[in-house]
Amino acid sequence: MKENLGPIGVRLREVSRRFGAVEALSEVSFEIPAGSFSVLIGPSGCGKTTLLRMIGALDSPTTGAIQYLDRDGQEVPSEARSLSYGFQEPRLLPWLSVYDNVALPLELRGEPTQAQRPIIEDMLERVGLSDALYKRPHELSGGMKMRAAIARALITQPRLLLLDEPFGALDEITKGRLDDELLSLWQRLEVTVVLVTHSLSEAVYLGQQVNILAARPGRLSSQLNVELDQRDPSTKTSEEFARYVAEAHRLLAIAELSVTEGEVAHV
Amino acid sequence: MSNQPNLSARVKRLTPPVISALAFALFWEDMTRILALPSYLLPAPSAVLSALFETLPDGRQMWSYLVTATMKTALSAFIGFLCAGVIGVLMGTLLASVRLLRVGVYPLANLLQMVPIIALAPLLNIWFGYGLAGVSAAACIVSIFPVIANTVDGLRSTDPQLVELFEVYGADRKQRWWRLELPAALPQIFTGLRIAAGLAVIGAVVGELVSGVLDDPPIGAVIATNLRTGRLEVVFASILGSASVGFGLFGLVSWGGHKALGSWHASAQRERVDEVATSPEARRRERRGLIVLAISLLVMTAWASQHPAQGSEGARAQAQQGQAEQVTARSADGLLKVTLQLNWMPEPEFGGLYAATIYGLDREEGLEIELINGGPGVPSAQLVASGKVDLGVFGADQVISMRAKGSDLVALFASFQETPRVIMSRPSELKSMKELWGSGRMIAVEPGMGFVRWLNHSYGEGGVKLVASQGGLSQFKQDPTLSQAAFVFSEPVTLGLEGIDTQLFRVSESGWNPYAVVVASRERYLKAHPEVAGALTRALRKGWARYLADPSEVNRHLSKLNPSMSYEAMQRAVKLAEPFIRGEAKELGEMSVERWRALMSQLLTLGLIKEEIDPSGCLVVE
Repeated sequence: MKENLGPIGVRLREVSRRFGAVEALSEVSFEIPAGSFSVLIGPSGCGKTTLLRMIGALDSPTTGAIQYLDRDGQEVPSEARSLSYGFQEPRLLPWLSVYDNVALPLELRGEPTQAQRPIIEDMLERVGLSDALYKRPHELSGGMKMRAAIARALITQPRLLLLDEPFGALDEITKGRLDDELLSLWQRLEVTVVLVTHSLSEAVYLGQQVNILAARPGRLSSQLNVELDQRDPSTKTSEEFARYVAEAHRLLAIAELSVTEGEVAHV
Repeated sequence: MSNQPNLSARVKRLTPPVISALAFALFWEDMTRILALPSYLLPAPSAVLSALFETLPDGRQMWSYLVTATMKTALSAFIGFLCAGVIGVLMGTLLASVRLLRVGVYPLANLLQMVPIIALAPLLNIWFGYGLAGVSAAACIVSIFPVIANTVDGLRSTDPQLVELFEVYGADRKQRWWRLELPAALPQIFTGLRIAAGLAVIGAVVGELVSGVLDDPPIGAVIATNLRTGRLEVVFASILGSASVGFGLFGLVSWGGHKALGSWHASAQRERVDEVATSPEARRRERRGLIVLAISLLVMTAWASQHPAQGSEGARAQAQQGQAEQVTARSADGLLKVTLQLNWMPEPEFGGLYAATIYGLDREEGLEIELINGGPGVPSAQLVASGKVDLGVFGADQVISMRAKGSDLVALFASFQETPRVIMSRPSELKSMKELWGSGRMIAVEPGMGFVRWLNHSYGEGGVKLVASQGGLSQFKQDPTLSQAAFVFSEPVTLGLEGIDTQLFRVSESGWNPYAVVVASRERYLKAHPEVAGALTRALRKGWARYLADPSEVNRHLSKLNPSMSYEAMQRAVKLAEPFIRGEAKELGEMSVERWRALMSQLLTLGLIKEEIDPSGCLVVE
């Protein structure tokens, strides 16, 4: 197994993306530090998923550039990037067991999965699926499926993990618990996480850097750096947390208003 | 978590359909008794059951004969299904992967499901060989399309989200195929295979129906034979046999699918949903409906039990009394309209019949005869026996075997004094029918013919290989080693005109000589229309006399009706037929009780009838 060479960051330089006549993203420029937990948030249609897909190389910018940098600011060549992507849906193969689903990325890389067994079992234990190794996806709850999907995304020891609203379809309680698990995984593994969400409190709770996007055309509206002393369930009731959420709220409102920027400016 | 249902759950699931089947059989039995239906129209389940335990002339029981036949059909269906499965999945894969083929060839593959297999089956025998190979080919052709279609659909409808997932992990084309597209398509491929399993059995039976080997017949050939002799209880028992092959193959594929797919298969989940208990109200309603059904079935059975069982003496007596025969309407000019069902296409063997209608000889006798064309497999005897037509043309042996089963068929006129049946082959060194029957040649015959069994009885069985024929000439022309049953004045004449010489072996050599092209009716019909017997005999006698004197006008008419036989051929045919038509009789069409008696004892010897009947009842004596 390859040694993890440490998390990598992303630098976006005037990234634009057009779909025909529609400009989905317009000249987005900002930096995601290596090893950080960053969040993309914004009104629907602001292009946050498009941006994430471009970072994940599932799509490419019409103009502009995306650079990948390690901790020392050195550019990382594409073969050493080791990206992983978590979709909105779990996307598990229904005919494979949980174990085989998690092992799939290693198998597709041509790595002998038998030798990886302890690593796979360890990963499944970390996401709390030790009891469900040989279950098939249809026997799992929504939360368990998502855990398996996260385990699969992490099994390749990625340096950059991109998550597109992974817990969007789950109930509030399950979502909260998975947020905590995700946080602890990030703290233990050498990985940069970029998360797309539409929940403000989730964004503030998880993200060190919250990037707020505006729509039509999609662009960066503002950035909020969250410096919480600690992040655990009790944090959510703290005054400090509430202040950050209120600030994020204000910034998001500005982003939403600026949809019709021209008119607002003259009021 | 186990998905294997335990034994008691399986019994629970099987109970409702089994009860339904039994209830349906009871309903069927009741209806045959209440409506006094004879077994040659619709056999009762009890008649089917008792037919199974009948002893055949060779000492075997019917059920063991049918089991052998079923195994034979099962083998053909299985081989055909395997071919359809392998070729279908490969073709589907090719069509799914190559866009050009999908656009250009896939629409044409749809034609496969429109192939009228009954038309193709005789050719399949020429291309692939008689018996197993030809029949398996028919099974394969009928069942392959659903496999292709479901393979293509399954492979083409891979979840695009999963395709993207594989892209993220850098899978190559080969990995995507084996690890994603194929496993994702498997449930649909198995759906195609399950449909194919049922179709393969249908294809096999249809293939056997037209071209099965007759020596040790598969189900399709048993059906063909017994349809012809009117033994519908054996036909229905055979249908049960072929259905069990279908169930078996379907079960095998389902089991294979379950093993291959495990429990993720969506349909496995759907089944579970079906079993979810309904509301108590709905259950109460269900139960009430079932009780009403059960009671009405019981009442009906009680009533039916007062009627005699099918095939019993009582039923026969009831059939003889019958309902009052409806008197047919006369046409405006006072003529009695009668319908006459032919058993073959318009050819010189019916020359006298056509002459009677063309020259108006029937009108002179107060009749207006409507001739209805026949063709391969037309059950003219059953059509007359059931009253669908007034008169029909068939062989004297059929009159006797139908009478033995309680019908009231009665012969009026024998167009042919001597049986015109021959076996034709390419010219050979063989000198007699006896030599031919021991030559090991392949002979195409129509299934169920009594003369074939008599030849076997006289010269020994197994000396030739019998295959089913539908009476066409394409098989004979293609295959110079094939011999074929024919009428002396029909097929050999057509072949002669095409420059193909034939050697003819006369069936009457063996002592089998029933009247042929016999015009028959029912006792009940003749009782209601007492003038018909005499009038018809006179009209047909005049018709044949006129036809034999100069057949050209009638033959011109016949060749228009039946373009497959030329005018020249018909003219030649009449010359050949004349000695058979006239025979040794003083008058055209006349019959003697002695010859009917001789035929009756031959049929008894062959086991084609179970007990003696009075031969004088078979014919109307003038």
